[in-house]
Amino acid sequence: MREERLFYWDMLLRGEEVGLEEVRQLAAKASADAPEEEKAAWVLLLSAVELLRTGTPSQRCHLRAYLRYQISQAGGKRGHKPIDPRELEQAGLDELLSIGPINWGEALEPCREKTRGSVDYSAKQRIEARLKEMCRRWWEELFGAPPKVLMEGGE
Amino acid sequence: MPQVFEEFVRKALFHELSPMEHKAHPSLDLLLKGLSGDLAPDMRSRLAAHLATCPQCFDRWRKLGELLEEEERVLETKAKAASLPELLRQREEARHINRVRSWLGSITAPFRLRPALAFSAAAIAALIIALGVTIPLLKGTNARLSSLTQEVASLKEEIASLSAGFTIPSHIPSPPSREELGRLVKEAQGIDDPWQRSLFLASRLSSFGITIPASLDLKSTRTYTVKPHDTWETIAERELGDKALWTILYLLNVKEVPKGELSPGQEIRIPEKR
Repeated sequence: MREERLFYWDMLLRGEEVGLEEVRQLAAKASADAPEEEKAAWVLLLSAVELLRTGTPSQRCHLRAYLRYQISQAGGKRGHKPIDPRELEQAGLDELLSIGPINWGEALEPCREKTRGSVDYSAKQRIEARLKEMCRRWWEELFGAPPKVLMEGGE
Repeated sequence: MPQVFEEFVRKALFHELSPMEHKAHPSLDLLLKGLSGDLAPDMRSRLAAHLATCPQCFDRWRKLGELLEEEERVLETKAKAASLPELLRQREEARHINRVRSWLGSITAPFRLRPALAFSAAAIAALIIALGVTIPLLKGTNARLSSLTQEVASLKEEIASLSAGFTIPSHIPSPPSREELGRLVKEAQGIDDPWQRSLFLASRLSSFGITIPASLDLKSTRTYTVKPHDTWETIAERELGDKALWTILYLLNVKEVPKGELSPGQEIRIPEKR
């Protein structure tokens, strides 16, 4: 199922539309006994899909920047290709991993014109808070009581 | 704590991106198509998902990408080098021009060393050019002059024959029709100079059997003031001796009296008698 989720992650990163119900049905197949990482992965993906469908343009832009940033960090130093900010907006998993870890400012580059060129660090916190709230909701819906990490600093 | 949630996200994504065993791997063709952007969005994302969790394929894909970029750079360099033949051609042209220059230099070298010799050569050249231009011009002028002289002579002969053959007819054998007279009037109206007009009329009227009497001098005309009850015919009879010559009178004055309507006190031109 991991490869399936990664397929959706790549679609999301490139700005392709992903059906929420389609992903939800796949996630629903995951057993309540599945490892925590699996559950977290489904919950995170569902939250991202929903937020990219229902969020404001600013939220969508910041979420995609957040995903670029976190995926590049999680991917480690697999690549060292120089960053081309013009290509970053359309960059999929393979391109992001070949670039290597990027910082928040670089990840936010495609949204910069909306913030008059300055790096909006608070945007990262805002989008995290929103994402966390959605993750908790999805966890509750799919797997029951959410873990402590999703409950801390809640509403 | 937001940092805790970030940890949650990163763990989840790390789990997603960690290497895994694959039963099948993308072909070289698929990798190349992916690198050149020739895959449909769906296939492209499938390939990306595989590459994210297959270190071997990811390395292969990255190396292929580097090779392709290198190949593109080489192709660009080759494209630039295509202008090399053009450069060589330009050099060859420049060499040819230099050869011509050096040939001219070898010819003019003695003159540069001896200014007097150069001056003499320039003077001779100028003389040759002047003669070459002037002689044909003079020849042409002479030819034009002789042709003009011939033309004048023939005109003189024509005028002489016209004035010599004039006799006073007792009647008009074939007078001009209305249309012909109309055409004559129009043509005569277009001639401003009375002398030219009279010559024109003499030649045209002779074709209708109307000849200008030799006693009449069309070169010199006098003014006649129209009296009451005067007509063209009465004036012609009284002043020229033949009423049939009214057409000559009328046509001579057609410019001044376009409609031919005479009125007392009006001045018309009449040919002088010799």
